[in-house]
Amino acid sequence: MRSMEIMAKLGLSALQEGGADQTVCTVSRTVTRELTAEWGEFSLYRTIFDDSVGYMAIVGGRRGVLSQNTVNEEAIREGAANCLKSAQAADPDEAWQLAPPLPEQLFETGPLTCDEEKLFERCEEFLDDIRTRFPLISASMLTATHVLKEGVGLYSTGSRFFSRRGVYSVDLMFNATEGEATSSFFATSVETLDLDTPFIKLGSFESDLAAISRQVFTKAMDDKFTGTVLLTPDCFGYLLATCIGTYASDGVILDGTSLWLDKVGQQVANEKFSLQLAPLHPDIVAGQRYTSEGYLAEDFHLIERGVLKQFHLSDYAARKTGRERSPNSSFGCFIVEPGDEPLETMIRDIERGLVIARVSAGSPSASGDFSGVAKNCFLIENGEIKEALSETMINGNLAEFLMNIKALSREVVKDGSSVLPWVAIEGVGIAGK
Amino acid sequence: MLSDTLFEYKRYFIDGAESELRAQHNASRRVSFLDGQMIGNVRQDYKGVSARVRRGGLYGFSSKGDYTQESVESVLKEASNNALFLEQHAKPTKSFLPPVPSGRMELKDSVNDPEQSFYIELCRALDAYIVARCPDIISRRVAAYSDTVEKVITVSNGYDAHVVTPRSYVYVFLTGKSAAGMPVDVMAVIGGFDTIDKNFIDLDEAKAKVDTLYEQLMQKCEGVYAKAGEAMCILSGRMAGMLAHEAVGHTVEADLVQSGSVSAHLLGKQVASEKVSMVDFAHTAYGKPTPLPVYVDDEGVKAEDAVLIRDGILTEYLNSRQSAELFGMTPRGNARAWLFSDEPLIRMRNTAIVPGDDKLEDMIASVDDGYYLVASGNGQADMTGEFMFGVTIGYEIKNGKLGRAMLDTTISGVAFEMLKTVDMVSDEVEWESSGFCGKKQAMTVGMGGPHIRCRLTMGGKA
Repeated sequence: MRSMEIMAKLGLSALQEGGADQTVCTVSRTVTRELTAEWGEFSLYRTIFDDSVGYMAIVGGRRGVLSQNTVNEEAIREGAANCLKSAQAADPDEAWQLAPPLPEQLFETGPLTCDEEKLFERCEEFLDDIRTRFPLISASMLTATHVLKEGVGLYSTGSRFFSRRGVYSVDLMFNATEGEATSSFFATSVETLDLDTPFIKLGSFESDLAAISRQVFTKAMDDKFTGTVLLTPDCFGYLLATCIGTYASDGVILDGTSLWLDKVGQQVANEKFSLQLAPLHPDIVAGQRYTSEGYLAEDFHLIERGVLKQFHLSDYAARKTGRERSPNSSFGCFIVEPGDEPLETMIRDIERGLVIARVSAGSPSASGDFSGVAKNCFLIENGEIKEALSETMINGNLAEFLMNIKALSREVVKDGSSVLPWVAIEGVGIAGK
Repeated sequence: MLSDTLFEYKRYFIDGAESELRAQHNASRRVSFLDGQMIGNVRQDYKGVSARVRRGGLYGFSSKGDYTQESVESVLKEASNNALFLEQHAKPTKSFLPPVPSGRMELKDSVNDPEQSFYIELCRALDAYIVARCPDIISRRVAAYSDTVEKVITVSNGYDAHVVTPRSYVYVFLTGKSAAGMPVDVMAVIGGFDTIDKNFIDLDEAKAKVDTLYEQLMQKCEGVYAKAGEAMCILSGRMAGMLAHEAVGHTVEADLVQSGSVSAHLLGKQVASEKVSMVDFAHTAYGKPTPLPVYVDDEGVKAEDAVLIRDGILTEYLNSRQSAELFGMTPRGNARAWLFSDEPLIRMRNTAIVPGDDKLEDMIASVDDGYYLVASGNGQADMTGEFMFGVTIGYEIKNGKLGRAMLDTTISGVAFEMLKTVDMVSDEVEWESSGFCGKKQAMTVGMGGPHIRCRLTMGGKA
């Protein structure tokens, strides 16, 4: 940490001596250990040692940003000079500002060393569990990773952030096969702070493996109707990220094309729905601790009981538009309050619709009009899950989807980066081939 | 430029193992403007060295973010230890890979690295042109972007190489308003292989593209929703290229074949109409360099074209050296890594449908009721061959003539069913190379094709 601090100081001084009014220099070191198994057999073990230097300089309101991974005195001076050159060529804009100074901060979380023997054992056990319990599953790629990231962030305001954080992650890409038939592929990921729990018990691994095992043989529906879709927690997270990008993020607020532009304080979703972006939540294992401008990250509600509380805006976009800055800038860390209905009851209440675990869709238009292929999905009829479907499309409007939330499940999935329930949305266009 | 000293470090390779060393520098530059305001001004440089060591069929890999003799020795040792760890914990069964031709290839013409001011002035000039020529937009974005990848590769068996691949683009996004007051947007990309100062000596091509894009936006603002369901469609060359990449190319990547992709049981079988042939080009196509040429891959395999479909028959998979041994095929240079810290994966290079002999005007005239699909925002497919593309610019075809523009929609289908419906193929090729393909790592890829006539499922609202 001490050597990184010396390098960050050098970078900060070089930027200041070069004439920058406001500057940031961050130096970090990451060590990644990653085991890979393909088709159920170990195939690769990687260790990656990476350093990184980030510079930000504001010169007379002109801002430049540069990053590099060579960390020595000469490279740092050269990087700072290039960052200044870059800033000097930019347009002045007074909205680029740093946060007020804060007392020195140290963030230390997670396992700082990798238990590689235990990591290997958990992987072996996981592959064995898959083989035994889900014999149709082809585990295309399992990667189990430990990342240790240490970093120093120094700000010209005097703020100083030190962090040392370790985290394990498990990613599985898989499909199910029988004879010449195959399901669609699927991917499930989890972040965790320890190796105490068998991987199969983490996040949604168990339910996803079970669902995909039933999707080898699918039917192409030839019908078209308006129905209810039940999204899995992971698929719900994708929908929420797409909604924020379409209606509540920097670009669409800055250019004024968001349909939610004048909706702060108004109902934009069913009142059952509340969404927090919460990197400090105890179930989020590697959430943001401070923003690039030098603010401490805080949790906040984007939507509370269906009412839009604020946008997901950077400090820059907030200053440009005179709106409120988001208390954190992480895109994710979604915490959705669960509902009061068991998943089983939600399914029973659906007369006709789909259970969807993944949507393959283009970027929605600025209006939020949306259409995509419902992947890894089952038909629901008269309150029962029926056959797996292929070539089925859903369409509608993202804003209307949120207003048409019918129910949220009591059960939630915690995968280390979000806490989400299942959601039922009414009035969705469903079309077969 | 990176030093060639890496070639000398082959002396540190360990007997009894297959080894690769790679020094690499990825440089990217981006400037972006939103409604005349600069909102992004970023330069990134990542360089370092990595080693991959194979023992008993198991790989150890390690990388470090500097390129010195000390770091080369260190990553080789670490990679070797990692392979040993796996050998001791897993069950090594595989032997050495079959040898490939050896040699050295050096294609390292010095490339320029223009200063950020060049990118900024380029954006400013194009932004000013948009302001002058596009009065009815409600928002505009312009971005200038480049990346250059330089690699020095040395291997225990195969080609050593020193190669540099630059590419650069300008992106233009225009937003208008529909009659109902809803925002409507379109996007265009200009550029390709080479550095930004060479691709944008003047702005003539970019300005012409802006004029076309504005015309398309105004038509789209008056646009209609597509009718949901199956329809006769003509895909532009760029969309045919996306189809080649997403819906076919991924399913013939040998690692996905091993997982049971739809192509696993179709080798030598009819998967498309006889009018369809498809090639993953290495570095040259139709007498010209491909958009993103690959001469040697990151396993030291000298690159050559892979013919995936010939006259409708599936003929070959895309392979690494290890998968080529498994399938009894020849590796053709498809094992590629994006950053120095990435291991090589099986990736496409420049995947294209081969042109036919039809004329676009005849193809449009042949459709009574259908759609002409011009541009796509993005596309995805899976191992079943089921695909989805977002369509951002398209038109109705009524009685052999182009009709009203379409609002955004999605098309979908199953690749090897849809390709059997192809009955017309135009005589020209259009390439696209500005994006990234995602598969554990990012990767630059080219994709292209002629116009094709086929049947597809539209995801419209009407």
